[in-house]
Amino acid sequence: MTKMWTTKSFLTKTKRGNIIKIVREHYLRDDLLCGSGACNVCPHKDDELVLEEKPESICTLFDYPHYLILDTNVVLHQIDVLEEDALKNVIILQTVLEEVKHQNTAMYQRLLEIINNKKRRFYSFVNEHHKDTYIEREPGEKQNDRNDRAIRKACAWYETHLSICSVDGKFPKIVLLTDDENNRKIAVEEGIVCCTAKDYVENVTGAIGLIDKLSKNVIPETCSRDALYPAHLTPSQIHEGIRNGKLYQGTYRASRDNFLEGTAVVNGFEKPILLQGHIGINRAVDGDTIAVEIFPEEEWRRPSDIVLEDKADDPGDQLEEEAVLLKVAEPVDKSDEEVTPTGKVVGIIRRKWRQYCGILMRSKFPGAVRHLFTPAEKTIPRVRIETRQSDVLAMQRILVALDSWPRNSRYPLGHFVRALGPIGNKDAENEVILLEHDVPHARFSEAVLACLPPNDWTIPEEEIKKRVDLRSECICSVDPPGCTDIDDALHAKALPGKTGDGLKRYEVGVHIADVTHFVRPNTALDKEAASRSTTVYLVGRRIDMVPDLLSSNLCSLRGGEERLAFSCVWEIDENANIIHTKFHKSVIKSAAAMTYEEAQIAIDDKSRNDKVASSLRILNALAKKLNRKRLDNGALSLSSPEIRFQMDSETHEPVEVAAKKILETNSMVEEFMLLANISVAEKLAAEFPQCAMLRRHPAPPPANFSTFLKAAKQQVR
Amino acid sequence: MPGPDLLSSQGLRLDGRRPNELRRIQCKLGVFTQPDGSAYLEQGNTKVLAAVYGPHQAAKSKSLQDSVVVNCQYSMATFSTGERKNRPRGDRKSQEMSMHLRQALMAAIKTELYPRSQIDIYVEVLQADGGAYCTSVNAATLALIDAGIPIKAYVIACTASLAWKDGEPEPLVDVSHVEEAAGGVVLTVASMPSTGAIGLIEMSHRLHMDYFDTVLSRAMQGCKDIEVILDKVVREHLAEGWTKSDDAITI
Amino acid sequence: MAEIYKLIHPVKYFNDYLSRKIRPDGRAFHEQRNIKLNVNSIKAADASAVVKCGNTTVVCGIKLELATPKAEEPDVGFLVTNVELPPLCSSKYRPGPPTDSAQVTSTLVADIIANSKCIDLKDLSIVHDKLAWVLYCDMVCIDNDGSLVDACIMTLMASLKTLTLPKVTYDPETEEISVDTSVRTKLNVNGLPVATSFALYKHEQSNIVLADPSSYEEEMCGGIGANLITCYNNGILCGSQKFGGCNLSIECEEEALKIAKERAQAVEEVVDVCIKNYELEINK
Repeated sequence: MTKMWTTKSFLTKTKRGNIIKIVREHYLRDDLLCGSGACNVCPHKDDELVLEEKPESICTLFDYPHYLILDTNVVLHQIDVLEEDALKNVIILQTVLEEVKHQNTAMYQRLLEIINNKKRRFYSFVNEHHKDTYIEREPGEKQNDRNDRAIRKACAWYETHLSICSVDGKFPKIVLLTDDENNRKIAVEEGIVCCTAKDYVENVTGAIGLIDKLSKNVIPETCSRDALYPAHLTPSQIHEGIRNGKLYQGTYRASRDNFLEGTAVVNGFEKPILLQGHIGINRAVDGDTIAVEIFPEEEWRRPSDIVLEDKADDPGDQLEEEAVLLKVAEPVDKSDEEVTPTGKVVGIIRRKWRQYCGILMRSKFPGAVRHLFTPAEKTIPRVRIETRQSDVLAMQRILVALDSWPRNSRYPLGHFVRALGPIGNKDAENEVILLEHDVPHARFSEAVLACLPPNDWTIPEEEIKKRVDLRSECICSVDPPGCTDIDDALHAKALPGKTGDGLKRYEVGVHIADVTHFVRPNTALDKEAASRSTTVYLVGRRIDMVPDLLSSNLCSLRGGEERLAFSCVWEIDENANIIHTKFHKSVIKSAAAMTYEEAQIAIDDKSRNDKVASSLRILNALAKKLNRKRLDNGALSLSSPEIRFQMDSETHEPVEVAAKKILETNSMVEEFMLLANISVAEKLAAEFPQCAMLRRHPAPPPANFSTFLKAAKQQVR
Repeated sequence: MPGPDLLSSQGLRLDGRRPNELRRIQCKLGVFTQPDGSAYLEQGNTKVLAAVYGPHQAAKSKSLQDSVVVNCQYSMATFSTGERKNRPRGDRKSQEMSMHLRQALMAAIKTELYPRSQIDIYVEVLQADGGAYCTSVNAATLALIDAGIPIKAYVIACTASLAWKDGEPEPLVDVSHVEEAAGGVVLTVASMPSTGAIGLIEMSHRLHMDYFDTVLSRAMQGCKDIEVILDKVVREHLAEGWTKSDDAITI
Repeated sequence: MAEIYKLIHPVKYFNDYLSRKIRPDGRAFHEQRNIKLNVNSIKAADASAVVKCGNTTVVCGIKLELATPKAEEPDVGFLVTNVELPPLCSSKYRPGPPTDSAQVTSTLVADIIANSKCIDLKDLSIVHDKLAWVLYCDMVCIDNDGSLVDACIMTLMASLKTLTLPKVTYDPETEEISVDTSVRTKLNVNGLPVATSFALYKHEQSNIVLADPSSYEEEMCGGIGANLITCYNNGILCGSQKFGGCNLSIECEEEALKIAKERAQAVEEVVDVCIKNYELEINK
């Protein structure tokens, strides 16, 4: 066993108003590796040598071999730069990794992905447990300052470690990238080479487009010169204001029709608070959590009816007249029932920015680098970005990240992330839809694919022994035409004898493909499927929740093939009353995979008397009775007609849209799936009363209908 | 059952240990003058005192014709945990612990040697940071040895938990309080490593059957590792020639 | 041989020693046992100390809690002391509810602390009528070899002297309590009360005063614990209790008070040095 040192760190925390002392052990080790190829002391195995022995410098500021160490702020703000392949030989300290994890989980995941990509040569160094780089927080020292000090300590350690451990006196230097001025100052005093991320990236040679990805992260409230917008309140002012009831917290919802109008729902007001004009909205973006000050009642207005789009040519950093809007909004009559509580945004509590898809509006001036970007989502304002590739990007759908919105800027600042494809191209537009709806659609990773069984997998004999063998039952599936992921199948047959009431008895089974046999808990496949959570259907494209081998083959209950299933089998009387229910894993062999239409024909065709047709007839008859019962019980029937795209068989372009025909068999399948769900839910609730998670649809609140009512009223007029 | 994040991406645990590493162990035998045998044991931040009185004449009502009566009491100082405990002993958990302690130790004590007698084993937990039961068993074993009471083999207890790394299960030995509190499974085993016999198994939370053996063998390995360390201390203590040094206890 | 003699003629054995002006453990009548003190060894407690006087070993741990003060005393916090004598510390105790001697010791310790006025309970108040500190001071005896109260007071005082209180802010409107652990103030301790135990023995018409008695001596002098406990704080006598044993003569009392006063100074030095070393270490 390795030698270990131990120290203890103390923490006190509050819980339920009382204080609790928490003591933790902290072991320091001497067996942690530096990961550098230039080191011949650490006992590296080959795959642990992440950093190159002679890293090639790509930055003109530092024209010697060097490794980069990043401060937390660089990772948090410049992740798009880091995701570019240009930067290599980077050391990520544990201190930084943990700070990133603490502050932003999404960022943390992205950083982990970079580290795991072997080609990128990012090495994560466990400085917090290394005996020579661990430091203790000094009395009175802020956590942040302690972490900065830990980062500098690790820089200094690497520098000496590499100089001692090199063979020929030539060794890579360390360059610390940090955007924290104070940290930089102390680092220089301590003799650590450092610079800002911006300076470094701007001097990188041979990586086109890297500069475009630099986040324009300025502290928004510091730009008071030429300020267009009033300053936001500080977090403590907001906190104070909310506590003494002067301010309200809410989520900003921008209007889809009028870019100078938005609302926020706050506690204590039934109607959403109206926010109007550049100053009233004061740089809030749709989805942000904001602090609102509400005007006295005589200044309340009503929402405007006009449509206002921010389509002006780039006016530079000035705000246009808002008179048009405000005049319309002036209440005609104080008793006007549309008068809404009105207020203004005075501070941002939390930004909820993401990456946005849209198009580049090229600047009119040739050769300019500052351009406007118009997001596809109407509620998001236009964004100012800098790029030197506007010629190429003008014709493309692009992805942009928001960085900041200083007081002196008409538009928020952002940076280009990547191009999605030419405007109007089907694939590019599909990509936009997927990104805007946050649908994970990357190809399945190697780790996920490694969880799959071989392509020629067949059911092993011992697996069949564990399950109920239903291969002899006449089971069939009914799905839309062209369906390849058949996840459910049915069977029904008459049972001999009668019930106590003299009714006929039937056995009906619903069989669901047993995906859990292939997707084991906690595997990469399981996690990926959980993050996708559903299969998404686009025109001509399907984004699978699990890889194709499972969704369209092994977990698709195809006709004539043996498949694993989970079955719910009932004994039902002819009035569709359940007499008995059982659940079990099973092996089935579907007799026929039919379309709705085929099934309907089989039912209707009196001449057919085969097993499939007769079981379908039983199912259909029972389904009608079940449906009747459900509606009598107060079920809500929502008819949203599904549509189908007719595809051109050669170009795979959609040529026609048609509403789907609704057949009896549609409702037949639906009815039995519902019945299975209900039976399973009842079983779950009975077995796990404490932790069964069941879904219900509560009655919608009247407020949900207000938009509809308003629209309907105008129709009447 | 996605467990909590107990292993970092570099394969280290929250306190910097690797999955198979025990916490730091420090111990001392013969720390008190009053009892017939005593020991002080630290496993990481868990600190336990154990004292053995006896064998002495058993109370009439309890006395057994053919074997010794073993009486155990597990007690935790009120300041031993994060939140102050109201009762150091006598509560349900302490009583359960006393019972488990007795079960584990009975397996090793040669009870037939002392008919109509009684052995009292008292354990006081001064600081608890996970695995207080295990440390108590191990300290009691040392106190029994110090008292010169014949035992068949060392009774050693150890915990193990299960973490996940890259989708692969990775058992953790000698679980600390932070790891316990994170909500993973905790398997406690009291065994006699030299014979492979298991005196007690206890488990909290759910664990899939498939991983049980992995976790159990990690706990058993932990017992073996602890035995090696304790045995060394016992031998050193005996070599010192039973001198009850004045400087016996520095907690 | 000596052990057998001690068992067969316990009184004679004891008297034989005393008539030679020496105690069975080799000490002179007024000689005290060595003191060993260690602070902050129990990390789970907010303050702690372990003391060893001879073989008598006591661990003290202090836990902080917040509470609402009593309505009749809205500006006063709480100092709750308790002494535990688990069966582990001596063969005299059996498992079960706290023994009489544990309860007596607890009361004694509480009285001594209260009488010495070393802690002003008003210092423990945070917000008038709303919030005050509770200091739970639990002393666990892990080896009882006489003069238990001395050891309890010593370990308790060493713990109190190292205790720091985090800054607590209370919002009267929301009743929200926030604790800032980075700002800590030391608890105000006035002086350092030191208790000294004596055993009184009547031997051949003369009264003998044994300072810092072991549990064997306490037993021989006919008490459950020590016969006489005196307490000094800042050179001022702040308490004296007599329990059983032989009668106390004026000379004996003066003798005892003199020893106790000297000892108070010596112990104060021990505690101060120990705490100073500890503080040096944490500020290093």
